[in-house]
Amino acid sequence: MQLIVRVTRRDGSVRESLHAGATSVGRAPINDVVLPGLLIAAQHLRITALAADRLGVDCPSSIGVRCNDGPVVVGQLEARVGDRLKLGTWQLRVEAAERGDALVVAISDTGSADRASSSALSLGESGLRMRRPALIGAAIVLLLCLLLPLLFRGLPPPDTVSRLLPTEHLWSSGPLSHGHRHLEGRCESCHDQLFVSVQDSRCLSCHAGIRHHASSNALLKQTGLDDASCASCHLEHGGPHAVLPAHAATCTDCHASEERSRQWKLDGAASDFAERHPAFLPTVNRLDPESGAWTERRLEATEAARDDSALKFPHDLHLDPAGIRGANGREVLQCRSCHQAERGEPGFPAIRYEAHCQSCHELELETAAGKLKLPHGDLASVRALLQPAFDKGLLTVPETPEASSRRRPGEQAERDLEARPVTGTVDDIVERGLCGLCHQFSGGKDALAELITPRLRRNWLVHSQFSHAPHQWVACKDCHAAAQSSLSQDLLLPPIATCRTCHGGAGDSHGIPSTCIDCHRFHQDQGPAMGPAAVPAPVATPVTAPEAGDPALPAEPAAPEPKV
Amino acid sequence: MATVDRLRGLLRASPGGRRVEKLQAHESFFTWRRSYYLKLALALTVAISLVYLVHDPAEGPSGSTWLGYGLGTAGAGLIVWLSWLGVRKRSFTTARGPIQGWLSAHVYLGLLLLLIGTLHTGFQLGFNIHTLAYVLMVLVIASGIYGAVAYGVLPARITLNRKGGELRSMLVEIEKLNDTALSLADRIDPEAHAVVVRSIAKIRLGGSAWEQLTGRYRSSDDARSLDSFFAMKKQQFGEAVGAARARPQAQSKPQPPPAAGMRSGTTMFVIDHIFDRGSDKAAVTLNKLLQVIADRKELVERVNVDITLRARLSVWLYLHVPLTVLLLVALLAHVLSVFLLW
Repeated sequence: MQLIVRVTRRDGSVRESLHAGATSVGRAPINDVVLPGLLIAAQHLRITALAADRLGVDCPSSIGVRCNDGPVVVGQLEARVGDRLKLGTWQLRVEAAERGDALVVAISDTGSADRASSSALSLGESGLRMRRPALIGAAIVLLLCLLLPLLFRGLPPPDTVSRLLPTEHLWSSGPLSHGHRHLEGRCESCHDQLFVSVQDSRCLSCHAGIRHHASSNALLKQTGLDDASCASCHLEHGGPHAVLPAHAATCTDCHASEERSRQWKLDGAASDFAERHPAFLPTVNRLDPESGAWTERRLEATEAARDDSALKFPHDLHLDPAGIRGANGREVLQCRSCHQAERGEPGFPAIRYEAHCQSCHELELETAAGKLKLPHGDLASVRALLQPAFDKGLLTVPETPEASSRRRPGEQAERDLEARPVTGTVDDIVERGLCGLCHQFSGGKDALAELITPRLRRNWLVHSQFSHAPHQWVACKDCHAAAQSSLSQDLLLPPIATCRTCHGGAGDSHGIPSTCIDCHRFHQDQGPAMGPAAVPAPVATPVTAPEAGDPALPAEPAAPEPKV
Repeated sequence: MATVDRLRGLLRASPGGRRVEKLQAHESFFTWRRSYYLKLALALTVAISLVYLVHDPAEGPSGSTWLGYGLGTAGAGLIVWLSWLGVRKRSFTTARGPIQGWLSAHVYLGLLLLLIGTLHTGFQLGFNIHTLAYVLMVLVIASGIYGAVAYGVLPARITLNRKGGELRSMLVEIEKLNDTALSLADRIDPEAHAVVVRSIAKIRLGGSAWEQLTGRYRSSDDARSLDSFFAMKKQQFGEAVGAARARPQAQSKPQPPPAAGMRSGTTMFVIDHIFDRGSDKAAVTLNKLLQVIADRKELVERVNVDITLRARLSVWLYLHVPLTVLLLVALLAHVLSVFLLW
């Protein structure tokens, strides 16, 4: 087997030699193949053609030889056709010869030594790149954050896919409010059109019939609220309560202006509950005692707080700390003896004769012939029952109404019909001795007296909503001076100053921060519905059930027809 | 003044720094035109902060208030404009102002962007595209801050380490020392030559990105092969070494610290005793060889320190640039998604 050695130098010169048996390679001139260069040992290798495709290599030098980027080998190894041996700056390549009985070793000068000094000298050389990660990252962001969500909006994916891959939920700017939490992830519920802000129609598809802030379209136009959208006040994606417009500016944009307040005939400008809010002006019932006609109106600022009810009820007498004569002897009444809150009710239920009065004020009449039991709420029957006894002279007409006889000395008498003359009929008993104790009668001095059906209001501050529930830890007397009130007409509402002892402005750090919507509502119970202004104002719907705190409710009778 | 000197060093070392120095000596981008952009950024910081504090929107601070939209628009504009610098600096000799001005604006307005972006969010962060854009912006700015600090600190250290030379000349010097070592070793004997050849093959300059950044390069087996070389020489000059052991330690030359100088310490030992035996020609050659190898080792270490310092000077760009591209895409997605679901 012959060995053909072909040496190519850097100057391009090629020298080919034919060898048989072991061929020595080294720097020293004594070698068969002389390779210059100080990286080569004097006698570096002995190579032998073992077969047409195998080269025997013996490296006696401790410098060693590297085969195909493998470890440095000292001693013997075998190379095959295609293998490369690195020797200093030289490279030996084993090649097949054209003839079958020979092997070629092509030796060339690569110019670079076989050593580790070709390591990366900078981060760029070490493989760090800028462009590739930038492009890959940009493509990923574009795909995951824009293209996929857009695709899934057009082609809603199955749940399993939407759980793994980003949907347009990724575009949400924040969590939805509690009320809308169930719509989380269903962006199209509100954002039905791309590039179009949420339309009121989307809100009204659920919140149908919700009404506007003013009583007429004309007023809405005047206030500029006619084109206000839901989103002007209700801002979503801002947290659990973001949709409630708690910020005072939502209201005070308009209501802080004195000029607008005058223009819209409001009580006054308001910008902060603690600092700038008009005094409470209650809406009260007024009774014309002659005709028994009722009217409703708001009090003037300078007017005494009086509310007619057609009932006689001195709070001070009933709340006498020494106690009063009860059904079972003396008892001390508390506010809650009559005003009992019901679970779920914002205010107190109406006072009823049967529940609250009857135990003490039983309708029994002592006659010479014995006790006469009378029904409540049916004056005709009472008259019919009394008439026979009256005719027989068994009943005596009291000189003065019984209520007056119960009054403690020195106190102002209940405004009554004391001046009414005795008529000599059974009505004297009814008016003076029986029903007249609590009820007011109409008619002038000469007219026939008629019992006026009482009207007990449940709400006097009709433009606000107040609930006793969160105030139950406050003593009743802290707000209501009932123990000092001798007239049922006394309106025992606290002034705004009383509220301000606890409630501060929206940004107040001392009192309870109180915003406009804590007491007031934007959406009214009557008037034009929210939505496009073109929709005609609906007819005011009558409210079926009386609600405490309902601002638009007219005066309600406390009990059904308490006729005596 | 130290800062000014440092900044001057920075200019000298920064890419294109010499050209900049020629254009406008003694003025770095940090203090360009009496810190014009620093003052501008500070003034805007105060103004924007004041507006943000006074601004009290009904829905709370967010990107959807007028201030939020304003800051968002300004921020997006700044991001695009600052990114443009990356393109712009490739042709910094154009007539539109010197590169320091651009760089100064880039640094200070980039820092201002952190405030603008943060206030734009109204501190409403979540798992969404908007927060992704914000986080990318913060990362880009953070890497930029590192870059600015690195340019303020590292160039001076690079200059100090190079001792007036350049990296290329240091590499050439290593090659020369290798050649000298080879020819010296060749004059001693084949075994010494083989040892030196092996040691040359095992010289490691630089390394992986991690090695470059940490400065902890994988040790080559250079030390071991040289140790074996010394073992051989010890054997050759056995008597001399034996005699030297009897000599007091004080007579040997001052020893370098043990960890770094074990090999050179041994070298000195051997040399001393070679000389003791007389002017042996081989020993003189050996002396020269060892000196050359010691010089080469010191040079290799300095080159590796240089590589480390340069890696630390440029590593931020490998984050800053790709993250900027990501930020631009995320910004596009952020803005588009806001108007898609308006």
